[in-house]
Amino acid sequence: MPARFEDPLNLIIAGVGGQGNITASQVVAQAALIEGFQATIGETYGVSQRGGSVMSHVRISRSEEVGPLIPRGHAHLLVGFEPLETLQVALEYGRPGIRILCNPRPLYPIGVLAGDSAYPPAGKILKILAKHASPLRIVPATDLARQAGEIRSMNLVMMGALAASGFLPFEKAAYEQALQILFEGPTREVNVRAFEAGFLALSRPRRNRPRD
Amino acid sequence: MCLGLCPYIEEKDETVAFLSDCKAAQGRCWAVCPRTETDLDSLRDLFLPSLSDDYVLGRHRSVWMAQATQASLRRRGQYGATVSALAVFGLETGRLDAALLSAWAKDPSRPLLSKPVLARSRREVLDAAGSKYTGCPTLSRLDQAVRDEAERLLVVGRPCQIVALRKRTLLEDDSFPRNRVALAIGLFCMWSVPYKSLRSLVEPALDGKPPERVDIPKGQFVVAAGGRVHAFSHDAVRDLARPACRLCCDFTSELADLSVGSTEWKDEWNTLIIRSERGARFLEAAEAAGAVRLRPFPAERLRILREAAYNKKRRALREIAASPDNSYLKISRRERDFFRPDRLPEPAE
Amino acid sequence: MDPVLLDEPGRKVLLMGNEAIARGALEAGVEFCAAYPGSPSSEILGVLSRAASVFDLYAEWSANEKVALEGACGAAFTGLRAMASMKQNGVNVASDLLTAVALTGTPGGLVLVVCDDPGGISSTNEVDTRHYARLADVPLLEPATFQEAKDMVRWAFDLSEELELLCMVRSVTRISHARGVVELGSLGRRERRARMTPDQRYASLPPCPKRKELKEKLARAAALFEASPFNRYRGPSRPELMVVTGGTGWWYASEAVRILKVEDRVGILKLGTTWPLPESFLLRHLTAARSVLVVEEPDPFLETNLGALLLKARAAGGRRIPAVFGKLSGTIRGPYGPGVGEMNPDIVVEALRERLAIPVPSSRQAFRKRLEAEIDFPLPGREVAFCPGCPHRASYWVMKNALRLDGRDGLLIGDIGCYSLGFGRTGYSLSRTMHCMGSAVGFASGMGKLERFGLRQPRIAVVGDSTFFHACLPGLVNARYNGSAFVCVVLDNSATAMTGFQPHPGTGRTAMGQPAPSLSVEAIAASMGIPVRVTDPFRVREATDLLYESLQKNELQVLVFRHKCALLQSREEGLPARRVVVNADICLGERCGCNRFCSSAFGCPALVWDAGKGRASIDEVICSRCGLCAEICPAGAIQVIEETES
Repeated sequence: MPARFEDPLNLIIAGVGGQGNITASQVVAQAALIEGFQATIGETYGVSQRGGSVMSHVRISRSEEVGPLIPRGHAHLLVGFEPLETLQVALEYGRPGIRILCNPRPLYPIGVLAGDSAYPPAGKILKILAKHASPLRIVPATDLARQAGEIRSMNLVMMGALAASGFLPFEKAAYEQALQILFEGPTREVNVRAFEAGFLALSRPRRNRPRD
Repeated sequence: MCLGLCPYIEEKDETVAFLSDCKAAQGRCWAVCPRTETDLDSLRDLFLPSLSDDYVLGRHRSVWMAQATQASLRRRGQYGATVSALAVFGLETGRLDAALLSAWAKDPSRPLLSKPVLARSRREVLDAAGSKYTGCPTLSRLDQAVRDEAERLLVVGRPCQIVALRKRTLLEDDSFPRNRVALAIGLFCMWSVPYKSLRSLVEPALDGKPPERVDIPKGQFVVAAGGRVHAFSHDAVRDLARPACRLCCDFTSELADLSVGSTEWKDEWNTLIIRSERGARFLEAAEAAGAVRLRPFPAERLRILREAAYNKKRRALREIAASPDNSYLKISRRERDFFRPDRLPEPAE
Repeated sequence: MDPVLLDEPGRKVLLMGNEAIARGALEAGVEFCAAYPGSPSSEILGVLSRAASVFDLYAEWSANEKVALEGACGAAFTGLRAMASMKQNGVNVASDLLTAVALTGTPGGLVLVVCDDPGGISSTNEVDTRHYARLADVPLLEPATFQEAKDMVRWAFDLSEELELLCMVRSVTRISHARGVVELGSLGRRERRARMTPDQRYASLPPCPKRKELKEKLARAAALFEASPFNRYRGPSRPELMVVTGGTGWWYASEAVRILKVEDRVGILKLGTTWPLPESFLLRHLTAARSVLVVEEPDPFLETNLGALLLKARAAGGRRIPAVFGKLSGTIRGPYGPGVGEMNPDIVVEALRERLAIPVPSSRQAFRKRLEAEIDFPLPGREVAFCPGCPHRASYWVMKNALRLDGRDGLLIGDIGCYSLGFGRTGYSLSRTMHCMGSAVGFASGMGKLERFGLRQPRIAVVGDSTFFHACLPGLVNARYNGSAFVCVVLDNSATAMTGFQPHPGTGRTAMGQPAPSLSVEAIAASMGIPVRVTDPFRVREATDLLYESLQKNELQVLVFRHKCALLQSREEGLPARRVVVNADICLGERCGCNRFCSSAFGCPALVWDAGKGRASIDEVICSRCGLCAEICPAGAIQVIEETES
């Protein structure tokens, strides 16, 4: 599928520690390799894995060796596992023309739960993102993951949606091969199902909104 | 009282603590606490209506000498065992179905610790008999007792606890059927000592034996345990008193239905103050049934009683005035003036 | 098969920096590997443990980094190739040995791999361990790419054997934990025979003659570095500005040059052999530049050494010395100022703009500003938190309650591990201090002698199980011997959890998956004559009472709070067959008067407030079904529903 390809293509996967950010980034990077691209991934690891904000910077290039950190204002793609994280990363790294996928289900910071700060209405966040993204596609990945039988495979649902979105110039087969390489056993089955669910969700024709 | 109302507050060894910080601006804990804003005049009007004010002893009908008629009760109870006799009478005649009292916790590692108990029988009342002198959080059990366990409840407490009980009753709250508190008996109290302080001073001497009786005869603080009597300096114990007690104006539990204390004169008798209509009726019935006997209260003893109450209140008001953080008591200017340091103790009325 | 273990030279695979490092060691035919977990280094030993069975090498998780390096030294004394890996703090712990073994050298190749954490993203300090290379006088290699991470480690063993000297390889988070394409080399195989011949004797004294020898070795290293392929220059022959960099700085500088399109004005000199400096190579290039900008992280280590080199060259006369800019000149600066914090491409872009007088375009941050204009609400921060089901939440809940009931403003002294989070909101902000491994016991040992100076606040030292074996034993010995009074609470979750669930001396399993004796925390404490009790923090009442009672005695005690880590449990046994739910009919919502006690006071991320329903609710996506919250609801609205066979 034809898609814009800026070289290097900068993709950020943004979420909360524990959402499977790192696994997701490996799926994309592996697909890139299969398609003959170079890929570099930069991760936030360590303490933030305990419920803090995490990002994976995935950089894809035909030829260049690129460093693991995406400069501010240089992200072409943003896959957000959580609305607040998506907004934060869009602010920091977004640029005109940014394509965004977002799972709209909030995860509340403990400061919010304690009543010391307020989580903004998710609808408001999505509205702002929609206005400035080209485009924003919303993927109810948690629900889809639940339907696929494993609630914690939301990250793979998002990868399926990414595959279907056309944001990256990779064939679906490349992703599928990546899943075979990265996983085995029951984990592979679950992840493949989740990936399919995400892919299907975004390849269904959209009736109401015109494509950007 | 706050303990029974709120999951944020717990108590251990009589230390009451917020285990987590609550962000509520004013909760029920604040509303019922006897050391937060307390409008004494309103409370008097509500619970002791149509009685004239007595700034020293609180509104009351009469003052008596009283004692349990049964010697067996007097052996277990404090002085005249009047409170025990009234509780037993109430339970045995069905006027009460439970009594909220404080009993020794019978914890071998903590001989002097007491705990709230809900007594339903003579045996259980006797088990709880005797003064404790520490700040047992009896009312932590109140809400649960009233909600689930009793329909005609007797509450026995220190003056501060009686105030809390009255404030609780006033609170708009469906979960507290206020008509289930049948009777409130208040004890006389000059101060109480936090358990942990008493523990350090007294428990080592007890050698692990459970206490049988605690008393404050002239100049001494006495604990009988394991067949021996251990005496401590009264002043040494008094110096350990809870800081909040210094702010307390109420010697005789002026908001109770009946108030009971020592005579400081005759060891077999109590001082009994009859306050409310409800208290009067209950006592009449108890006397008629032969559970308690009354004698007139000598004028000279009354003068001494009033002097003690007056002095406590005057000291406390001075303490309250000394710091803006201490001001919690709403009383009339007239009442406050009554206790001005330049006034002499007034004669018996 | 794990790509890092493939026997396919020439194959290109996606590897994490740490995997590349481990691969480099395998290609060098390493025989003995030891480490203590620490982010960002932990995966190195993880890979080598997996490789152990395939390649017949030995890999162990050591009790701490000093022991790890000692173990590696032991192997290297017998002629084997050995490697120790650790994070920057580990080098602090091992530094006494480092300075000594530099003096003696070893016959077998000995490589120390250090993974620094610039910015302290997962650390309680920010330390540039390259200084140790200069301090201890050992050669230092700094990979800039994933390929170099592998190739340098492989070459480091050759270099080490050539010089009979420990070699240091320093990586950072953005290489160790990043992934990129690596071309595999051939796997090394060696004849192994561990042996020390009678003439092989290694003592680091007397130090002065040894230091002289060491300096000579370093001079030989410098000579070798002059021709190293890890040092290279790319750019115009006489650049207006020459960036001198190593490590990740090379990526960032390359990217910055590309972004600003100044390839014709700026050249990049990449240095992979950072100590000792290849002086001729450097001077040759530096004198061709009009000015120099040094990019590195986190300290101006290279910059300072370059400065010294240039001064020396100036004294020798006859050269044109360029002006050097970097952190010392304040040109390279992040949000915390020069020399503090992580490097990134944006910092380099700004520095280049400044040096090359390139104006900031007006369109810069336009997108951000447009987005910001729409945001009329505050954005809440996201604090790290104990995972749902974490026993540390239960332990901190217990400790908070016990301390508050005690009422003497007791002091909770914290240490390093997942439970470090106890310093923050998720641990009810209980911990008063947080420093280095084992410091909780040491601090408490000192504080436990302060009664004579009026200290009435009881003390609780909180340490984890792995921390206990790593660093607490001398502190406990000291406390017992010197008669210090405090309660040491050991949070035993059967794992070195924060770094990735590595086994440790208490877990009964080795790095290579073999069963091992499980050392008992309580037996060790008892053997020191310290009263010890064990409980489960999930039995909240019992644990609170136990801790409370311990606080009343003014003496040294150990309490073990034992409960398995929730993530480990989930991995090993899956989620329990039950659901924990808030019964919306029983939950009284705002009418309860509890002011949302469950979600606001307890702080489990899975216990949320459903604003729509006005009730508490449990997020089943993240709930671990531990059931602890069921005890805290005053109305009994939180229920644990066991799933029966349907």
